[in-house]
Amino acid sequence: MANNNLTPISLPGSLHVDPVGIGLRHAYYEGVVETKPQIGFLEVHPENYFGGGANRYHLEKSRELYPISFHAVGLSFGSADGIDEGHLAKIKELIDIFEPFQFSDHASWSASGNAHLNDLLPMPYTTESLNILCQNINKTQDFLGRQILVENPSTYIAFTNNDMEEYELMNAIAKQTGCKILLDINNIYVQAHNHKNDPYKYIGAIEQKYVGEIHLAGFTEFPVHKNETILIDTHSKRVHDPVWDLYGYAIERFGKIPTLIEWDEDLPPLSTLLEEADKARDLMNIKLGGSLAAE
Amino acid sequence: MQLNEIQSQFKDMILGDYDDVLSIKDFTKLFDTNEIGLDVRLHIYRDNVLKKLAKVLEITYPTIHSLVGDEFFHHIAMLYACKYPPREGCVNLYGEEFSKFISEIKQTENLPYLYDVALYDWCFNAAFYAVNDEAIDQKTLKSISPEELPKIQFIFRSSVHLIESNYPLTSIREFCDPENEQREENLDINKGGEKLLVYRPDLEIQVVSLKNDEFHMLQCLQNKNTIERSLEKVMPSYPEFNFQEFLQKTFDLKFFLNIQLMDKQ
Repeated sequence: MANNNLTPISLPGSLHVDPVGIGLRHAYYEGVVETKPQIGFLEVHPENYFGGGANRYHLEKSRELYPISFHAVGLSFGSADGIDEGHLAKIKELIDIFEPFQFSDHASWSASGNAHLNDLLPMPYTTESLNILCQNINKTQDFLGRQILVENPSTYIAFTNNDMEEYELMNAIAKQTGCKILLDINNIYVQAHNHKNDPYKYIGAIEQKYVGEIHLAGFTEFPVHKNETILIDTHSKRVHDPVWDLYGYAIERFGKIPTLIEWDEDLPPLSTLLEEADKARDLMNIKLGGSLAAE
Repeated sequence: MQLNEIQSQFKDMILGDYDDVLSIKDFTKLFDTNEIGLDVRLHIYRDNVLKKLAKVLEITYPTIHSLVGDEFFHHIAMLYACKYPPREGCVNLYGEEFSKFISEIKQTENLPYLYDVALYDWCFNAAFYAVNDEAIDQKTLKSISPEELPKIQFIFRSSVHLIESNYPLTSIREFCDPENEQREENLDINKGGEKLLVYRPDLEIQVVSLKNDEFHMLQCLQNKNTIERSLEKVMPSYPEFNFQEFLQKTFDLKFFLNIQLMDKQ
């Protein structure tokens, strides 16, 4: 059952630019604070700020300038073993300090038994998986006392025992837990290519009211035999053209949704990320009919 | 097959014997095997996990990475990841057993200094992620009567790590640091050992070179011995040890988080 008492997500009222943000990584700490680029928010992996020291100091400096969203990678919502309360407690401590306007993690698993594999691993789209995801998401929302977002994963393998499509799973998660969906457009494109699905059908099937954030990133094409390729979600390149097209469609469908440019490997200069952010903002304005920056 | 079993076998496919897991028909029939094939698809997950963990270790152990080279480092890092996967969803402090692991493999038996160098790299990583805390100053001792002073235990700041080696650890790390423009052209690995304290007094990590007596006194104190007991252990080997100077230096450098008075030991 959806928990109706959760604090709803809302963008900070002080935003003076369209809600396009960039992922804050260590290489950008000084550049962001010194140049104060025109972006709506910064997003970080909270796990990078467990403990103290320089990372936390730089996050404090950035937080003085921008709204922050937390995008976790370590809760393993899809794990049949449940989630780690110690990990949740550390995240709660950071939320209390940095007051992020959004908190998210993924509809995937990483932990099994005594190992945490530090990756976003696939799960069958079954009723059992849905129940486990909802149980762990509910536990997280109850623990944090707020509504969270859950991201659709990139997948490189499909299960034969699926009871539902991935978009049905995502809608059901949102409906049953009251969470929002963080729609990763690149992941939709990647899994559609890898499993020969229609990415537009996916976006068309996601219920508008559930989408709370969008992610954009670049993938890497991995050649395999028989002229086939698999796309890997590496977050290491500019957003590809078909993903921009898909994003345009998503904006038409979902409206003005906070959008993040993610880049985690082979980090480019900050200016490259900002160019990508500008592109997302321009596309948002075109699709929604003029600048909405001053809303 | 239930989800916990699927996840357990998927984990074994990544960390354990890949071929063994792929011989389990109940596991392989879970996946859609189209023209690209199951093997290729599963290998992507296996590679992603192991390469990411190797990258985490490379960041934690930059000196080892530099000493043994990229290809060999990633080979042993992936072996390590299979044997010692992370236990939690945050990898900031992943890889603590790597120094022992690297010293026990056959290919490194002629590189006896790797164990100490890996420990030294680990000290930097642990200090970097240590929780923020504030040192006490020497005034704290004023509340302690002269009679009670010997019964004091020191609680060290969370970032403090002591390390001793027969090898010149600071020179080795500086020599291997690609951003160090003033590094020496050659390194004499046998030029002598060091006793060091690595910590993070504020944002930057600092390394303090210690004399033998200072090092052993700090070791005793860090092992929760009182001042009195620590002096009993140190003085026989170092009769010239000046405790007042030691106290001044350690407070000046802000090593201690707190003190506690022990009634008995």
